[in-house]
Amino acid sequence: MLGYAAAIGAAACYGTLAVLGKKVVTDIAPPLVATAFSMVIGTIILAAIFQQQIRQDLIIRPALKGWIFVSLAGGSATWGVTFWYLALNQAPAVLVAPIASIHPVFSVLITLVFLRKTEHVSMKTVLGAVLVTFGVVIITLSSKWPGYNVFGINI
Amino acid sequence: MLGVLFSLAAAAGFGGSAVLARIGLQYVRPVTGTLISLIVGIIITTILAFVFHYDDIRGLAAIAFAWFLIVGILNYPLGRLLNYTSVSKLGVSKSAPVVGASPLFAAVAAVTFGGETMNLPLIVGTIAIIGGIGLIMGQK
Repeated sequence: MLGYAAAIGAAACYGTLAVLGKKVVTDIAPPLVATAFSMVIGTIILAAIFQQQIRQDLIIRPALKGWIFVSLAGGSATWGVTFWYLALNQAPAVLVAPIASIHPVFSVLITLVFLRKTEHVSMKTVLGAVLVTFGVVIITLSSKWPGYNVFGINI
Repeated sequence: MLGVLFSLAAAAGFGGSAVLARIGLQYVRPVTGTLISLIVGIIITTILAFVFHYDDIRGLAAIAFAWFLIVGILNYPLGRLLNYTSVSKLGVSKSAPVVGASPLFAAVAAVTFGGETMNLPLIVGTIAIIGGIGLIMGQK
């Protein structure tokens, strides 16, 4: 249950960020500048709050494999953010956002190929991921919906 | 065409990040894993920011840092740490779709606080997302 609560919490944070972030990159600073500085500040706060746990982990010295893969995870996320902004330079958000939103499907597919021994991916999970992605794409495109009046109800 | 390719590259980056984190988090706790991933991200983005936007950085107003603080807290000590915690507990295939439903929360915020109205695609999309998450969470 904690895992799902954490996932929903993360989704809520990222969703709120989408609304706030628009203001920041429109009025405050270019996207790359905002990303860099917010990342620095966020990291300092994270390190300050969890310094004891981090210190314990550094003393225990986790396996090098762990360090390498979380570093690569950070690099991959930065790759995603960088190409997101490059895409927005080339195409409108109404095209970029739905395509970039299919990343959960990428995650499930990559898991199926490379993490078969670590994780069992059921058909329900695949179906769930596809359904969520479909819903995200529809919501992302909803701003372009012209709206119709059906039997007196605006939809 | 380039926009589509770059968008796909972005999706691959975000998707791959979750899988790589999953592997790494078998050996590192989520908090330390989040910190390490952020340090790597800081190095890359800061270099790019200074190379391409040096003049913009010099011209930053003090109020900008207040916004960076809010965005930074939401995104990293909260967002990414919760993301990595969920990946660690559930695995990528269950966590990624739920985390990826963030546009639903953005839509709820836009309707509740931003004065936007519900429309048919929003309703359909919401039902699809909730149905998808229900399918994933409903497994034993």
